Amino acid sequence: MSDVDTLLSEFIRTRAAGGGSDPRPFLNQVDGAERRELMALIDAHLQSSVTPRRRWDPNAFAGSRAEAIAADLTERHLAPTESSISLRALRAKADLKRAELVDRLSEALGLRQGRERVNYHYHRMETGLTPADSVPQRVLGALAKLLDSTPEKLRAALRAGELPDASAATKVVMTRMASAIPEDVDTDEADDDGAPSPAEPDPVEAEVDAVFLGGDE
Amino acid sequence: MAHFRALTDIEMDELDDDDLVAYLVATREADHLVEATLAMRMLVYRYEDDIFGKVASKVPDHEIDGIVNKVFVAVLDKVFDGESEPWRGGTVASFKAWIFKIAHNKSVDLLRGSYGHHDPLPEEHPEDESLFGEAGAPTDERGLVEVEDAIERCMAERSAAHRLVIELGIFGDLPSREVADEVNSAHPDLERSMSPDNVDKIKSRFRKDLKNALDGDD
Repeated sequence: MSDVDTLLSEFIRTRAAGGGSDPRPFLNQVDGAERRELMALIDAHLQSSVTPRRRWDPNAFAGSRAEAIAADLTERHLAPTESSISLRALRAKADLKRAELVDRLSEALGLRQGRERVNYHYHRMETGLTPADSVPQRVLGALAKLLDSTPEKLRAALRAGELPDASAATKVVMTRMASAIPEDVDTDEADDDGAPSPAEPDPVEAEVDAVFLGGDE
Repeated sequence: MAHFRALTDIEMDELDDDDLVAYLVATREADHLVEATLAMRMLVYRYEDDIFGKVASKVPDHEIDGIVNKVFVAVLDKVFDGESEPWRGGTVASFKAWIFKIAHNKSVDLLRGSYGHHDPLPEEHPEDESLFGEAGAPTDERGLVEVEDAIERCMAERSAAHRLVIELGIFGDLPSREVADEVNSAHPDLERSMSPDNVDKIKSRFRKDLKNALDGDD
């Protein structure tokens, strides 16, 4: 075997054993035409479709050159944009626990008594169940003050986290609301007939629903 | 919003290059940045070391990391450019061939700058920056383009069966018996089945032709 053959085999074995693909220690052992030949063959080996690819190894990745490159690329290509920051991320940025934010939001909207219902609506917003476009400006304005943001940014955040079927889910909630608040019901007559009267809507919940689902005036 | 099923790292590692890139693009479009970041890390990890090896034999040591970084930036710029599988339809056959071609051209760009040559070679296509560098290739003393071309020329002159012999026997360093079996299995229509002796002769002829091609480039 020539030096070139031996060195190529050594390079291939080293790479296969996880010793890396740096050809310089091998190329440095030959000169001139032999070096060029070895360079061409190592190139061909690295590029060959029969050469096994490197398998994912999170431990080896940590602290590697690849990690540094991936970090640069993440910043360049995957950094969150204003339109992709979620409501949850904005809350985390404001360093507010959800319960704390719900307390303050209830207060800001004058809905302290309906705090649990506010919590329900906020949960739906943060988990993408509420369509971004259905949230009234009044709610966004109050939230924006608490999260040191703007209503526009919040709308974008809601849009980013919106689930594909959020509109459908909200329609279900609104339909339930409508059926729970009967129009022009004469409760006295219903009682007289002995028929069960429709469930009385909780006036506090109804007030909160009206704020969160009522849309903008 | 694009739809996708979030994959585990094990599932992701099983994906071939085309599918891993498609998954990366889909997760990014859906703003699922955690999944997109893992897919990107995997793609970089899959090729970084081999690209480093490709570049390290050609450019000065202090330039290697910068060039490798440029290669991945160029690849990801193109991948996120909206064009599906940008490595299709060009002169290369796969994502792997494409990323190595970009590495070659980025190395060539650097050497061209270092040696002050500006004349593009006839086979270069300056209009396609991602594949062929910003302004053609150098004709520097390292003969980078010629070294790469020598292998391509020698391979192009051979039949599919002989190319497989070279891929497996030289680039893959497999024993001749194993190469013969693989070739006979992949090419059952050969007039005479491949023997280990045939494999050794084909390898030897290729190496002689490669030497001549490289000598001829001097």
